[in-house]
Amino acid sequence: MSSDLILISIVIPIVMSLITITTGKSLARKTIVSATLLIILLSALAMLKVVNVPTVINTSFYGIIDKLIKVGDYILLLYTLYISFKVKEPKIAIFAILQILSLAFFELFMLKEQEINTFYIDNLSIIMNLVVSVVGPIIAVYAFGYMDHHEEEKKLTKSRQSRFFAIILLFIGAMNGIIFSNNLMWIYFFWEITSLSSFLLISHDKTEEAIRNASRALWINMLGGFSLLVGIIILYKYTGIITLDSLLKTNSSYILLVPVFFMILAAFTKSAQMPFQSWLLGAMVAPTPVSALLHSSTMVKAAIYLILRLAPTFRGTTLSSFIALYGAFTFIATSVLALSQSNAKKILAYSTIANLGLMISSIGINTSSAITAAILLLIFHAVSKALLFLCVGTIEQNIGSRDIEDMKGLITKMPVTTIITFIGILSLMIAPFGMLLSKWMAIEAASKNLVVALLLIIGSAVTVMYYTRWIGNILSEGRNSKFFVEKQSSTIRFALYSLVTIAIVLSLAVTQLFNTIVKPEINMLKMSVSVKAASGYLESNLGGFTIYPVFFAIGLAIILAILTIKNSRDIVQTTPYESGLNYDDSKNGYDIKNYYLPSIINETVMTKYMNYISLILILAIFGGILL
Amino acid sequence: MGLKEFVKKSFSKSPWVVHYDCGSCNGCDIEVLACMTPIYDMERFGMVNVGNPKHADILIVTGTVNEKNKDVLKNVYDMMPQPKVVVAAGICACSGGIFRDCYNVLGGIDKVIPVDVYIPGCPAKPEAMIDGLYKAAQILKDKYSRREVIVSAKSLG
Amino acid sequence: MTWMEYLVFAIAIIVTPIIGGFITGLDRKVTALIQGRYGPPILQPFYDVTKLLSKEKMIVNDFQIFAAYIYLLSAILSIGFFAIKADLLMIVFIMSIGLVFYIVGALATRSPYSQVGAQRELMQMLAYEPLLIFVLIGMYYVSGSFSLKTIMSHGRLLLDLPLIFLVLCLVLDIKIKKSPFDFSTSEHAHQELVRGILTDYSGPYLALIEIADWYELVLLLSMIAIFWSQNLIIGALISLLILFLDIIIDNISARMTLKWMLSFSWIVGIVFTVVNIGYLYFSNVSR
Repeated sequence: MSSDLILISIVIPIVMSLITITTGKSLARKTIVSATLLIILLSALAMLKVVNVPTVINTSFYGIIDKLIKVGDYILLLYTLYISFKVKEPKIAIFAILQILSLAFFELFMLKEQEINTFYIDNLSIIMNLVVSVVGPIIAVYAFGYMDHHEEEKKLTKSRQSRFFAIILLFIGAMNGIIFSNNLMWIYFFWEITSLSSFLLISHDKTEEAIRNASRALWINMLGGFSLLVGIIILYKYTGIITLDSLLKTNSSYILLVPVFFMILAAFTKSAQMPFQSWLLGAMVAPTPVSALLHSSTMVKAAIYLILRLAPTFRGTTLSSFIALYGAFTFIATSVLALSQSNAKKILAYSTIANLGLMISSIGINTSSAITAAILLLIFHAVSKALLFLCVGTIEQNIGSRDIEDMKGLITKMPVTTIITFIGILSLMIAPFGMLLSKWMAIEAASKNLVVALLLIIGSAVTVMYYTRWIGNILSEGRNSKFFVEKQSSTIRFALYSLVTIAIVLSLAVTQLFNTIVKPEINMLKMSVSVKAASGYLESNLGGFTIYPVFFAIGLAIILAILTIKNSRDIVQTTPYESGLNYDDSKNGYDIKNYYLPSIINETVMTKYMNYISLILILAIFGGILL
Repeated sequence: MGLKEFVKKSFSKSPWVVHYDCGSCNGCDIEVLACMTPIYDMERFGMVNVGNPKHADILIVTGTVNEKNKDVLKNVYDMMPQPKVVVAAGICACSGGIFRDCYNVLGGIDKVIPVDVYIPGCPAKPEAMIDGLYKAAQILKDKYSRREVIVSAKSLG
Repeated sequence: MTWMEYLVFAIAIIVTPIIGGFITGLDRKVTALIQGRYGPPILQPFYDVTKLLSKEKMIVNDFQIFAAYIYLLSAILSIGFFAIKADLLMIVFIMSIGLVFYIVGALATRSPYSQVGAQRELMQMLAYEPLLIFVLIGMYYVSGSFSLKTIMSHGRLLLDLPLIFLVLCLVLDIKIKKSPFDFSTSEHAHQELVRGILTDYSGPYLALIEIADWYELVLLLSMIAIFWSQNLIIGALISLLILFLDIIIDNISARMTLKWMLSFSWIVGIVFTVVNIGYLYFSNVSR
């Protein structure tokens, strides 16, 4: 039964994507896609109930799938070569050829047939599956309304949405493949499919800029894929291991660290850590659902998933502390770079890279509470960041600009979206929401390692700064504006409301979340559970955080404020103080911009220096293997 | 003493002043600033010169009113929350002073806003100003008590 | 939480504004005496707050009401948790909720003064918040936990962490906005931007912010006091002495620039923390 569920979640999206690409009519396409998404969601929820973890599952289909994947690898790489000729980007061709040669060498000369379990599931797989299967369909439903409007704006005669949704379904299937596969070669195959779908989706609009950014994304991800393949080959050559379950069963020895380094390097490229961050920033030219789905919630989380899987192998080594330092450096460097941005999608992109750096840093610290923090960060960040990207997409379609300076006074034009964006940004950086709780746990876990702790602390203060000025912009209001519910298409409304509800509910229920899903995972990784959670109080041996009083205080403030506003007979409305002259906004108005600190933070110059430092750190990680 | 008495007393013990120069030659303004110096020390009565009408109770105005600044004066007066007191410092603010017959001068500030305390002098001495401000603080307390009476009369019928 | 802890929480919340008001009043009296004048009576802050609470409600923007309430409630919560000896890092993060809303409440009006004041307050927060958490990391290093109970039972923090104590004093100076750090808003009659971030608050909401500032003052003074936690009376005297030093520095220095403040506080904070903890690490003080 469980193997059927898993096969459904991987195979059906891929098959349905092939069907979708042929469907021309909008209604038929929407029905097929919605049905597929519903199946994915239901199978994820069913797996939550049915599957007993941890377990390995065998199916009789293993042989067929393995052969298909072996062939598919070569087709994929040849298609990538074709793409590199079409877009005239030779770097893609270099890495594709390197991969073809290594793959052929490996499979013809080294690989021997073995008895292999098909799927490996534990609580981490269930968590990732839920993230992909809940957030993914919500974003895809949002994309129904968004892409219609998008194509209207671009005045396209022939709709290209069937290609769009087909690739999204293919991508969701590939993500499920990465999460559940046991054979490392399968993981490599699905990894490359996600790189390819990222290229196809970023270049969806077929403009010059989009194709350029998509090619850059493709060659950096191909570099990662090559690194993953090299890691797998080295692992097989020295230990004969090709599957996850045998990798996790062996004693962690020295010899494992070299292939693990290459696999982690692949994860760094996919999660756009420095110095590979340029592809994620360039990918913001893609339509918003793509940014929300691929580049903040799911694909970049696949990299974190891989590092989490490999975490037991490098626990307690110098490699681990250097990874923590590298993640912390990325966190602070990209947070500081985000301070200089005023483009909303770029701020969100830098923030995504920063939070991924925070997760990698927590995994590098590799204690029980640090891994708990990393898993909780993964869950909360996926939901909140997707919500924010969708809000920015809605705002952009309405006012025609992505710049946060143009979002001044948004609450008068789009009240509901503004309040949802406000709650979304709060859920990313303020106690008592889940992100801050996990950040608290990460800082407490990191405090043994002084340099990492210093970097994380400064980075989180900078985070508060660049989000607060965004909130201030969208909430600034003139006189006498009334609250009204604006017109929104029903799919957009459904997506935004459901994501904001999930964000708030998950933050309230963080202790239940911890006890049901995360604690068994920590047990499974053979670490002692040092975090106790009960009814809103999360306690480790370093301290405790209680969330219910803080939620209560915020609720009390909301109630008091609403009561005061309702009794508004004795409240006098006035204009701001402008030395007695009352400027009218329209006639002789003034404009105040936020601090962007261009004299201190110059994006190009700073990026160059940060790239150098991060390269040195990566070399240090490699050197850490020898220590 | 009871809570109501304490509230009324705090109005006379903590009058915050905003100072506005309407069209003055700056003579009276220098004397207003001199009130804050250690020799005259108005802070011992709790008076503080906040620069913002939204925080202030007493508006002390110097100088005459003309066409250009009467709107500004009205705006500053409107931006103060109730209860509020206006003090005209110097003879120019009281009645136009020696500039009263100029073509641009409308007169004292009571042509634009209601004035409660007049402090004559050219320039008004700091001692006189502190005396006037002290009286203004007592008027503030009376205005608050009367407003309470008016509000409770309204709610009764 | 046991009923004893609820009682301590409630008493702390009620007593703190009274202590805070007295300390603020003493502050103004001492400033006046240093300047050679009489100054207001010590109960003056209570008169001020009562008067403000009874004035007419005048707002620019509905969001200001919400921001003022959250600033006050988060300050109350952090004092309460401090009194029942909870986790210090949690207390710092709860304080930062209030700070964010305080800043957003001023950014939400379209007034030039309050917006520039709010931007400056953001930079001030960027300057002192990392330093505050560095102090907590120092305390963790010595006592092995972030929880106040464990830290206070360790005792003698001032002897192990002298440089970190200085960092905490710097945080106090920046947080209560005395010269040379009074950029965003300042004491009466020192204004640069017409009361900066507080320009568009008036009446009762200004009173709520004033009371919240008293709570935060007492919180920071208590954090200084726990550096000598064996004898809390001496700890309180140490914190009042530091406040007196801050008043003197206020009276003799002028307002500096934001860039100076940011670089000064970060350099002092990072160098002192690293030197102090490095010294502890190499001399193997047990934790």
